[in-house]
Amino acid sequence: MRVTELSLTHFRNYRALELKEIPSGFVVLQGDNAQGKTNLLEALFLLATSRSPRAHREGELIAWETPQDGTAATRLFGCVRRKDGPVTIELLLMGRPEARPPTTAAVAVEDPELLPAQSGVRRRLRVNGAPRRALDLLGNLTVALFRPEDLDLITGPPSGRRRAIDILLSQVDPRYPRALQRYARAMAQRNHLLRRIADRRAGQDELAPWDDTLAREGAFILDSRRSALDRLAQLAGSAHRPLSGDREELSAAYAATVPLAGPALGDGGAAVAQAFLARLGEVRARDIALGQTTVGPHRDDLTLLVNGVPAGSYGSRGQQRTLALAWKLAEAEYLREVTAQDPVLLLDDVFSELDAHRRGCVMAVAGAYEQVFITTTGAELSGQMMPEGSRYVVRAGTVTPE
Amino acid sequence: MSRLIDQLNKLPGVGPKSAQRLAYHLLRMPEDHARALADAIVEMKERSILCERCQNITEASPCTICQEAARDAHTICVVEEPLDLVALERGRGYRGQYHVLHGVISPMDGIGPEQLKVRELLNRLRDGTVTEVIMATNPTLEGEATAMYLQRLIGPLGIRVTRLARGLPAGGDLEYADDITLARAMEGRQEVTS
Ligand SMILES: [Zn+2]
Repeated sequence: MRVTELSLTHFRNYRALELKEIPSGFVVLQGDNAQGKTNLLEALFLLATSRSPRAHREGELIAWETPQDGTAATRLFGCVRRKDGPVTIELLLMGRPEARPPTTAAVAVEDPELLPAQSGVRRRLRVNGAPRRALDLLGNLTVALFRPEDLDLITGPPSGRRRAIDILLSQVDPRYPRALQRYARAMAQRNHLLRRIADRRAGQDELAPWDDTLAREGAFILDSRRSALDRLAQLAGSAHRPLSGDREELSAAYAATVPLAGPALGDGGAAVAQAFLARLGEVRARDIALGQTTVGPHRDDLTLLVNGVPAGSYGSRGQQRTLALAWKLAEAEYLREVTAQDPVLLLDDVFSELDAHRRGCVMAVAGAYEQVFITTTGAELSGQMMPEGSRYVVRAGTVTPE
Repeated sequence: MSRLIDQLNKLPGVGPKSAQRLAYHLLRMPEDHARALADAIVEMKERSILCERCQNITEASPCTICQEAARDAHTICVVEEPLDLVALERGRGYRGQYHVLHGVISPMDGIGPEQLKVRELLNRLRDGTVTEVIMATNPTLEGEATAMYLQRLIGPLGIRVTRLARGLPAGGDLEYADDITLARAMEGRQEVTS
């Protein structure tokens, strides 16, 4: 698939941007730093997922004052040409009036890692002109975003890896984000109940329905993640070989906080649910004391292994960066495989840290996708390295075809 | 005037703008109409009590539904709110008893079984007349959890516990379902097993 049209109104440093007839192939966005290149890729990511890849404070997305009448200040609009026809996506972002008290729904999600934190931003979505919930947006435009922070996938805390696989699975399976949402809400309810039990305002018998829900939704999340991770590791291995020139064996390990009998079966995890439920019973006293649910997919880790060694403790910084790149290329390939359509690749400043050989590898792989947005200051993509494609100059919130 | 606007604004579905519009409408109303409205509100508050059996809102206890002799005494349909009961009655497919919980379990809102009419429900099951309890809580996370919780209490009493069939929109309220959907959901109800 590819994006044919993008229009941004009052989004970050864009007052009004209108890009029409965006071609396929490489779309090179060239400009100095802080001119709006990354913001443009962020806009495409938002149209795919309704979430920002970087905003813990999503209020920043609305750089312009929201009018008093409550209409949207910030609008993102995109046309996508899919195999099965064109789709339009419109996303309106509005600041939440401060005076309004928080609703139950707004405080429902306690774990900001599993799902993005709730923010003061209200969003309104339309797909082909019809209103949609955020959950129903996913899958219309699929993207794989590459950015310098990807190194965190290898060296950072587990939360980043959980988030990466959650976003990946949410793009390919509509059941997955629903399971995440139900899981997060059931956990928020259970955590409140744990505290009420500790205060002797509730009985332990009240835990059962929440434990059941957590086990059922959690088992589905676990099973989906493990199935995807196995495939991702294989794809990362294939991507890694030409990049590194070595013959390292890549594999992946899913470190679960509930006992897992046997491999992922792709069956929604009926057996896992039983084990999960039993484990919740075992840790109940501890959970009551802490007022928190201490086991489940929100506490799991997933790691890439190189010759059996966790990638985070393998090799040099450069080698770790190559591993991160292999992971991202594997994500893109996974999206292509599962949806039978090319995702749109978003490469944000990925070349500055790579040597010429690796740049060449990435360009060769990326070139096989229908559309690839690349940001660059121009310095690192000189001469032959500059891909054949359309070029746009990004300067102070304007984008001009060259 | 601003006091009235504040009060109207507290009503569900009434934003600040509608509250203003309503207040100006009331201002232009003939005085006897305004008084009739105010009286109706106060009177409703003063006269409404909960039915001692089904916990529905009524002016006389037991309520007319509980007093209807032709209704099946062996079946109780458990609903969240009085309006859910109204919706099911409108559908006319169901001729048994009701029980109104007045909410769902939601620890984050400080609501547990103690805050709902759960004990009253269990008391009604004691004499062995009731053989089936139909869970008609809404298909939300909290509605499902409440049904599961009650099933665990009622199942061991040897009473059949069933759940309304799917077909209700997920997360959708009983209150807004159409009559045919409701009748189908009632007919296709299924055994709950834990
Ligand atoms: Zn009654």
